[in-house]
Amino acid sequence: MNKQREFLKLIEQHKGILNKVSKMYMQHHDDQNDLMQEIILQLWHSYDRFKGNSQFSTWMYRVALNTALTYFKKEKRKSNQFTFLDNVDQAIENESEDKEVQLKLFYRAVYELNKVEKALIFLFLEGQSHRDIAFNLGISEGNARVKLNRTKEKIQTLIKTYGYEF
Amino acid sequence: MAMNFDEIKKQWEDQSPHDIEIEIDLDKHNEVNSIIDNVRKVMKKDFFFQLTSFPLILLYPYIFEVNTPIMWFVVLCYIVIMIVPMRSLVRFYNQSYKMEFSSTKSLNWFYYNYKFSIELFKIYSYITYVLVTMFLGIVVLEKFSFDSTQKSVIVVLILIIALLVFVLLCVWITKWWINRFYVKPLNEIKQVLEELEN
Repeated sequence: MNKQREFLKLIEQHKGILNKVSKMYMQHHDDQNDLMQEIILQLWHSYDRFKGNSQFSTWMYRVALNTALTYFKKEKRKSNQFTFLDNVDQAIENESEDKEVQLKLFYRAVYELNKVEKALIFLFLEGQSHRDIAFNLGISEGNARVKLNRTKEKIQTLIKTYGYEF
Repeated sequence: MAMNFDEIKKQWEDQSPHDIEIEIDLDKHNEVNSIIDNVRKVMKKDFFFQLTSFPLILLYPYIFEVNTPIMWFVVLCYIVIMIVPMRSLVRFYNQSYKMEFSSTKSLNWFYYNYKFSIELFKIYSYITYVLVTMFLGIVVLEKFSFDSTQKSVIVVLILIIALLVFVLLCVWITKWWINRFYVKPLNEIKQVLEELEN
């Protein structure tokens, strides 16, 4: 029980990471919760092997991203579901300078990326260097740099197709 | 409105995690929908199916009233052939939640071990069909006496054809079963690995 309590305390401290990974990979609120639940379960299954050699957050990034990469659930339909992208066009008309709208547009573009591109942009936004991104994904630093640049360009192109400057 | 990544980064960092509710009782967290969960579910079902066949196979010589050394030899072969791959499949099942390495390493580990497990399951199934066919052949040979009349030759021919059809049907069912439940997750993992490598 102590171990479980300790684990949940760590999860509580780092729940922002879980929230961001889930939002990155799933568009709808229920699906985001399902993915978050799946990540917590995977973290719990792997917790015995966490030796504390690295920071909990570093370890968590890896397990969370690897879980998201292997998560192939079909998304629930929008009809009765809350989605935080639903009113984006309306919001832009009303408050064009709103920073929140920029983030929503960014998410809209992100949902058109593949799983690895999502992982790359997620790690970039979390402030990780090319070296750390390469280390977490298990690719070379050069490859991480090239892939990240391509992903950024893809996002820029997508946002431009929505009619906004980038 | 001009956007840039520095601004997005700032907005990203400002996202508040305070409204997120975490389920306290971990036992309430069910396996959901990752590839690994799906693979584990199918493997678990197959494992229990195979496990129930284990005591049954020991009863067959008595059920068919063919309690002969050759029959027990076939049963012994079946048990030995069953134990080795089962041990390997159980080991893979128990280690399947290895997610703490880099993405490439974790996914490669899962992909190749899973692929190996599928091949093992296939080989094991095919050998089982051959042994079951031998088993049925022995039952028929022990139970019925054949002479060299034309009628007997026809009966033996029909028997051989029936056993052959049985084996082919089993092989087809196995291939269908594997394609239906095992191959899709393998391809999905492969797709992610290709995205990582290219």
